[in-house]
Amino acid sequence: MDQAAFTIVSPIPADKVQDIKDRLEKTGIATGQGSAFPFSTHKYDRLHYCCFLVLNDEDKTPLLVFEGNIDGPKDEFFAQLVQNDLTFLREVYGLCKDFPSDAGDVVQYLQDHDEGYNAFYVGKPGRTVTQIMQEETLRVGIEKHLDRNPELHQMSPEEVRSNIQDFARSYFPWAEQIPDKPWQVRFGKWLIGLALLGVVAILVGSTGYFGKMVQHVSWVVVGLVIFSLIYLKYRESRDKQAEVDWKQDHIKDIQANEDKMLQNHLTSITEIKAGLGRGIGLRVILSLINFAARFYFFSGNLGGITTIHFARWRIIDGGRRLLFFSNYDGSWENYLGEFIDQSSLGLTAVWCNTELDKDKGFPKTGFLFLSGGSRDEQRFKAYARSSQRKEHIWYSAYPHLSIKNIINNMHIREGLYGNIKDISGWLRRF
Amino acid sequence: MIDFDDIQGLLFSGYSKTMKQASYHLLQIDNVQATKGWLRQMISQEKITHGDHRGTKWCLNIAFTADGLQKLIGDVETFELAFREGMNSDRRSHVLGDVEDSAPEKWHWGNKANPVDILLMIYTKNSEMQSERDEIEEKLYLENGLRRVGGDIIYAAPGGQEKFGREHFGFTDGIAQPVIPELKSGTQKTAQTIRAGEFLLGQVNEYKETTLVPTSKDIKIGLNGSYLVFRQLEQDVGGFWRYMENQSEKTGRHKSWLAAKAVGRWPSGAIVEQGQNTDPGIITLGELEFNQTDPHGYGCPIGSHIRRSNPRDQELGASVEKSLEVSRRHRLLRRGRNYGPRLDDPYENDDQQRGLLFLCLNANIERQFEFVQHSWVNNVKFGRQYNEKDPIIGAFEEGNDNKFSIPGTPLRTRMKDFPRFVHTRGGGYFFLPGLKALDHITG
Repeated sequence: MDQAAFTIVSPIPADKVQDIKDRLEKTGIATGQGSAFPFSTHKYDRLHYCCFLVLNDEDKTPLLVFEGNIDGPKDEFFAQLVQNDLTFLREVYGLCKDFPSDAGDVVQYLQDHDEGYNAFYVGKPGRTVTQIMQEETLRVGIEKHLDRNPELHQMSPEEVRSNIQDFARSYFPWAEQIPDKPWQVRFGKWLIGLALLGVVAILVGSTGYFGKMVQHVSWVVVGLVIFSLIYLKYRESRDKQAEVDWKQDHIKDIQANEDKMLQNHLTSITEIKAGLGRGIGLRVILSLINFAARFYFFSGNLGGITTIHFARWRIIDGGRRLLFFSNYDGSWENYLGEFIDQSSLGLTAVWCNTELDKDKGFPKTGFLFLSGGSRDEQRFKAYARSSQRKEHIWYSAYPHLSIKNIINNMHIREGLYGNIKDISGWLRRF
Repeated sequence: MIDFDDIQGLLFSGYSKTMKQASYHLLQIDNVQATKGWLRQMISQEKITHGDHRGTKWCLNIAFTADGLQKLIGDVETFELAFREGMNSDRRSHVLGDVEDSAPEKWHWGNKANPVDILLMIYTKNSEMQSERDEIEEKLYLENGLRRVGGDIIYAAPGGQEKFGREHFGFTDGIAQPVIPELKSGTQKTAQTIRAGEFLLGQVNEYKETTLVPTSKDIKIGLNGSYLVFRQLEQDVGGFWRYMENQSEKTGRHKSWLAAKAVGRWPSGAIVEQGQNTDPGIITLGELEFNQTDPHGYGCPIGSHIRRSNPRDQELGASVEKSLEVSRRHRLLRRGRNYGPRLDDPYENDDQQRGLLFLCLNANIERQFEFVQHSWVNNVKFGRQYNEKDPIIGAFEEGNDNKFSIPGTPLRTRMKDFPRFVHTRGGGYFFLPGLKALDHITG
């Protein structure tokens, strides 16, 4: 089953902002899991993550944002939400404009206010909440079995695996069936290869009238690219970067919500720099990232970052602001470190088009995104912190599992039966 | 060009070659003017060890907490948030694993009941020199508006003649230290040398950026200074070896093998290699290349203490170069010493306290010291793990499934029910200023 993401954005009347915040915070639980939650998350077996927050920035319409990552189609999830938790929805959304009084229209309201995304990254596409939970019980069961049978240490790897198979057959019969992988995971790299081949073929092999057309189009494209690069370089040299400003109270406030579990959530909102080039450039980069995330980065690794479960970008406010959500493993310091150390190129390419405010831009880049930017570690981290907003409620369906754990569990299940080449390697997974 | 003489000597050395004794005085400022006078006298008499000069009889260095600094200069807003909040804040305690018995409420010093302003460190050649120096300095600070916190002076255990001493569990310690070419003439830059900016404010760090320098009234007061992390870590030696004995019965492996696997080195300092059953007895010096020699941890387990405190060329990136680059951004300059007498019978604690006076220097507390504790040592997801912490210094909590996996064929060996062996008894974040900065601090 494919994963989907929803980002429901509702304007709030200015005088109701504190009310809504209070209603969200009165649960007393900022982050958590399970039935202690303000709404009955245990009924949603397809919900990976979700969060509620209020965006209330100067000179902007206050917004209530409800975002999440689920398995399967969104309208089914919305229908489930309305069926199970209408009271909670009414309590929170009732203060927003245009929230329908009729239950039947609430699903429509949610769909209408769902902003979608510009780029969406899934750590392990195809892995549903059910599979993730099941595979963890499989692993835990096998681990207990291994711990209880020390004589296994004296056997050969093949014998040990055979023994585990017998055990798993009795207790986890469902594990024998391997779920299908999403088609983009199975064929993604082939597609990219074919597409590139196709482009090359067209450029090289076209003859006659068609050939001339291709030539003209190519020159136009090259010309456009060169022009855009020059224009962007010009803009870049005039952009002012934000001074390093560690807003310590703001940071303490956000840190208070961090590290309560093994995973963390990050919400960032930035303004998009003025100018046509910036807006278009940003949309192009985000489309490329979205494409790469679907067809290439589907093994828990986004250009070197190995801690993201779900991440997405969305341009809101009529093209004026960029919203970013991420659910990741480990500490913020580690996460930002990964961004800087491993994928500063992609990161800079997106955020160099943003600023915290007029003349408080992203750290200065060298040529577009080839140098500077997020590599200016202290300035970048201060920028990131300033762009962060605190969520009022955050839910994780499996806070005890990192994305590496989830992928490891998947390999355990897939390597349980059938012929595998490296049995010792499979046993190392325990 | 780095002005060596502006930098306190602790950046260059822990003085362990010549200064076999050390004392640590935790002080509180009762009278700001008198304290400034005391500091001014110290500066004019050139008592503070700086540069790579060494006193022949004694060395002395001084550091300040955020509270102390605030009393003296009024405004510490440009200093790092971690330093300003202090090690005993709720968030830091959670991040560092200072919970249950190690929680700040139970500390002897550095908590809200016993706050510290100044750390005075005195290093001397021998015990007579130490008594003499301590008496002189104590008289001076007590007469100048300062009070000692937490009771007695803290003494380090006397150092021996060997180059590398042993910590209280019996293992050789202090082997891997960052080498900083800018501070040591004649050293070459390699993949494992570290830029000075990782430890000195105002210099170029491993991001090839100049570190930000805290200011006070427009003066770069942080220049050539460093953040000093000081923690009193009590070691339960009897508990440690009794546990190893207990696990030996359960797993069928020898207790010294189990302990070595947990540390990652044998007591001699030799790296544990695949197939070894006893200590080969020869210390392993030089750069370790786990990616090449031990990628699966069959010798030195991936979750062992030394691999967690510095993963080096593995775990941190897709390639060896990348991993080394990342590891260089999280190194600590260690300057700690043992305290307390050696235990005669390692299986039975006596009524003496013993452990490690952990001390390290870094330019960015959150990115270095706290990062190592949070993202490596106490990170239950480190390596390929689901729920394991550092077996030696991990902040194990009661009631959790505390275990350690030793990779092996065909299967891993598991040690279970780990109790916590190392408890925090006091701690603080300090600022070790340059000499010119000290001038400004005294007004």
